[in-house]
Amino acid sequence: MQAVFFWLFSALAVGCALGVVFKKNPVVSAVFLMGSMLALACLFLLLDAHFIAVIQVLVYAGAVMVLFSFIIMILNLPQEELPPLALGGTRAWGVAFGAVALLFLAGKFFPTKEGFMPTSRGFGDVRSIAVPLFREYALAFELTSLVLLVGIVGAVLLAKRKV
Amino acid sequence: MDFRVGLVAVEVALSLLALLFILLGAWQRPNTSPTGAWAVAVLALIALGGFSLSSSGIDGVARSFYGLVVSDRLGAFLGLFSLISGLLVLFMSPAYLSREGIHKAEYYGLVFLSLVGGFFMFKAASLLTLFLGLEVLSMPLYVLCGLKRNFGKSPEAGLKYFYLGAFFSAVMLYGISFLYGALGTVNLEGLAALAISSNRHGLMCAFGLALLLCGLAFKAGLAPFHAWVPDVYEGAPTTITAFMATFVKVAAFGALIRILFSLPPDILPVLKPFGWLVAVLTMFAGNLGALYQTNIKRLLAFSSIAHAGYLLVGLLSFNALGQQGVLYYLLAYTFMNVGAFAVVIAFGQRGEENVTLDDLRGMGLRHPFLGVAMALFILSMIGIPPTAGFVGKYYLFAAALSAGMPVLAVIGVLNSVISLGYYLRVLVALFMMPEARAVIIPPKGFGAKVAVAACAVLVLWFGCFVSSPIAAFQGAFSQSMLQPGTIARLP
Amino acid sequence: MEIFLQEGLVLLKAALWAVALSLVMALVAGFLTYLERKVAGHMQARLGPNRVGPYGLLQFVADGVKLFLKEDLIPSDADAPLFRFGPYLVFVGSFAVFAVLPFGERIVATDLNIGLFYVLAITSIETVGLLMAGWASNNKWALLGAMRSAAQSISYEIPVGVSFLIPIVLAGSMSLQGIIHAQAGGFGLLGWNVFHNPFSLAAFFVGCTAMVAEINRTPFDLPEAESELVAGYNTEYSGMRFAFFFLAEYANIFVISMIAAAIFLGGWQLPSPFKDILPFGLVGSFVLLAKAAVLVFIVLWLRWTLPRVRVDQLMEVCWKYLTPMALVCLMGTAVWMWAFPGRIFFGLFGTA
Repeated sequence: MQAVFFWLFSALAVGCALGVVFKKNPVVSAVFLMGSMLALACLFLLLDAHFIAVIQVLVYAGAVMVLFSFIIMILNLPQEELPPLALGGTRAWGVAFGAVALLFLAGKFFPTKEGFMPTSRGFGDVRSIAVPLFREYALAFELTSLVLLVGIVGAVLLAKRKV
Repeated sequence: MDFRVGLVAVEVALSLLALLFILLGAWQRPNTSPTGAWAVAVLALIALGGFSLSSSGIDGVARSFYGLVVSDRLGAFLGLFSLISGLLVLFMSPAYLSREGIHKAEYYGLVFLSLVGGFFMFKAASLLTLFLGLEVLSMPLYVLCGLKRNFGKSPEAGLKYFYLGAFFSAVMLYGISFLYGALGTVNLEGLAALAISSNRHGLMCAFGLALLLCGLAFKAGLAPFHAWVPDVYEGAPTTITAFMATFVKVAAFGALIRILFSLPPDILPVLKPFGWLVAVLTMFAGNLGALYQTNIKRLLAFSSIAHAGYLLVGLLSFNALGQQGVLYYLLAYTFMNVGAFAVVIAFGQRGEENVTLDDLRGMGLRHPFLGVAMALFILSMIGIPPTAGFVGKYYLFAAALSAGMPVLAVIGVLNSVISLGYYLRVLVALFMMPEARAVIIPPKGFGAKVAVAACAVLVLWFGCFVSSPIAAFQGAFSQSMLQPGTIARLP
Repeated sequence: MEIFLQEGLVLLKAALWAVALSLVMALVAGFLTYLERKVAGHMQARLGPNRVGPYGLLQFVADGVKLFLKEDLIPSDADAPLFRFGPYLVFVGSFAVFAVLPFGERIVATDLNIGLFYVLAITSIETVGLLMAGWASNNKWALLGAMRSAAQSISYEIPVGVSFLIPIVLAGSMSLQGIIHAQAGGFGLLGWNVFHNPFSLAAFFVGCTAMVAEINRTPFDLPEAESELVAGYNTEYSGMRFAFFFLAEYANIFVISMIAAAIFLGGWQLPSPFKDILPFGLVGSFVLLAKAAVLVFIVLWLRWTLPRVRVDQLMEVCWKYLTPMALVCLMGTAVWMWAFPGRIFFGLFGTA
């Protein structure tokens, strides 16, 4: 049953990702991106990584994508008049980089001589994420918060009419 | 528990100070300039500089935060350079910011946060810290570049820098993720596993390392990735240009040193030809580009590209002479560049008038103090004794010779000759041309003059008294994490 | 073979729960529409619906039938696929929460170990649906309503999330069952999170206010402010698609009341000697539902008592008051747990 769901959600994720690339209307692309995120969240669920799955939904589908669509709708972009599937210039670079990534990942994950490692006890629950985050990576966590702070302050500083 | 906060005391203090200034900005009344805040900022930076100077004397290498941070002499010295750059920039900021109508307390907060990012890059023992430090360093700069919202080029500079910076951050992160995938760690010591002789994932590692170095090369303004430099340096507020030209260079080269010296020895022969090419390209791109500039800020921007090329020459020689040379040149470069930009600020007017070579005509005679100081900085950039720039360049090219790269050294010297072409034009405009305009507005800004004076004295000082800093820099490398022996000694 | 049987049973169980929950949702939401009109009526010295069935109780059934039979209209300039898809997404976002809603001790479709977090995440999908519906309608009122809704939901998610953290911190668990279990003791009353310490008391009010705002109810119902936006994001909708929005909206009232009752008001905990005597914890379920009913009534009450706030006031309330207050509550609770480990507020004075 897991396999069935795996293939279902994988197909959904890949299909939606293709939709993002090939749809011309930016709003529709954004919706497809969200669909892809949701399908990924379901894949995380299948891996017993519940917390990550929920984060995926909350952060990407719930917040980031809403803001994306918000901005796209405010800008009210016209439908892009792009020739479909023209492969040249930047797109070629994109395809090349994507192919390289795919190649490496495939090389890393397909030859499973050792087989897959079994997950440790308590894998995927909140504790297994929280403890490293606030111990081993506490400093990195705080640095990230500085980056976010600068983002907020900077946005206000640059965008507000009278500061 | 492995939280030795003492190791990052300067960073914590700077961050708190930054938060304080950002809060101050929230309560600051419109149209009031936070002069008191500026004084506090300067004092705080001086205090931190003193602290960092005293702690840079500590021997040995200490690490904390579960291997994310390492504290050694190299990091301390680079941090000190950054603090000096920040302090000089702060000195010239208030008058300039008031003139441009952007005097806000957040400015200081953002400068401090940028410094924090740089510090974490210098203390990085892991690619994670390095990357996050780079982001903390860059994000405030994107904002600061676009701060002059009413002058068209400033938002353009901010936006250009932001887009390209974000793009190259992504490239760098992509590279790091490949390295992590291949090595299973992001610790800098883990990079030793990149050794060609024992590496199972050669292609993946090469790809990752290449992307990582590309990202850093962008930050340092090295040749194929230097196109953003002139536009951003021209559009940004001049104080921020000075800050970027010095501090960001120090940070990027600090990170390059950390990474290049963490690599296993058998990978260096592979990297060297690429580095050689980049160095040559960078020097030519900077110097040839500068020949055509009439705007002094753009001219200095191209010259900073060229200087990055000289620095890379020293870095590539991978010997003690080169290490000392890189540090020495970074220090000298900080003084001469900040000083030159301070002179530009002193001559400038609201809205960046007065920044073309034509505007400078005759100003050297009209304002002898600024003129002579500018001449000194220019001479130092060319590399004429007895200035700090000469000593730095001498060490860099000597290192290249002793490392068996005579061609590179020759190209370096050749480029210095090319650079005479535009540096002398500045001097000619300053001293040998009739004044351009009838009405002379006396240059304002006490702080900028202090910065100019300090830079001029220091450029001369480090041009004459060489031995003690060189000895100190020698110690910096021998007592850092980069030395193979130290890793074994780590707690 | 056995594996297939097992998996079949799992699927069957899931399907049965889904059917049962959708029935519950439809009934509850329908009944709430009736209740709202009844409450409104009485508050305005009217009778409210009273024709269909005894006391007008079957009014919502009649409404439902009417909505079923209406023409399904799609404006010609609308983006048809998105226009069709929007209501489903809103409905799914609302319905999916029911999967973790505790209806009593062990009476729950699935007790996720991240239950409360799941609630927060899955409800955020609704916003996407609203935005989609508003944009696809190709109508400026709908778009404005959707924009407001998105801004509002995203903003208010923060105080809601932070105030959710307080019961989580107190219980050391994100599972709704776990949180309710942790509120036992104190004679079944003083152990409730709302009475745990002064900060959790404040968090209850902060959280409830923010939740009311997050589901776009009055006084925070700007996305569908009739006087400005006709009907907001659902202006162009009719028939069944409109019914989906309606259903989700009223289901949400029930959901937030249930959640608040579960995480702050002790769930099925009650100062009662009978709880353990009756089977299946049915009394507990009843207690939980009664607590939720009180909260539902308060939500309805607010609508007919308070005027609508302005947009700037809405954002100000969220960012300048609720969010800092929620953060203070969180820190205060943490400090409390550090200073008085394992003690509740009233326990400081007595032996409870």
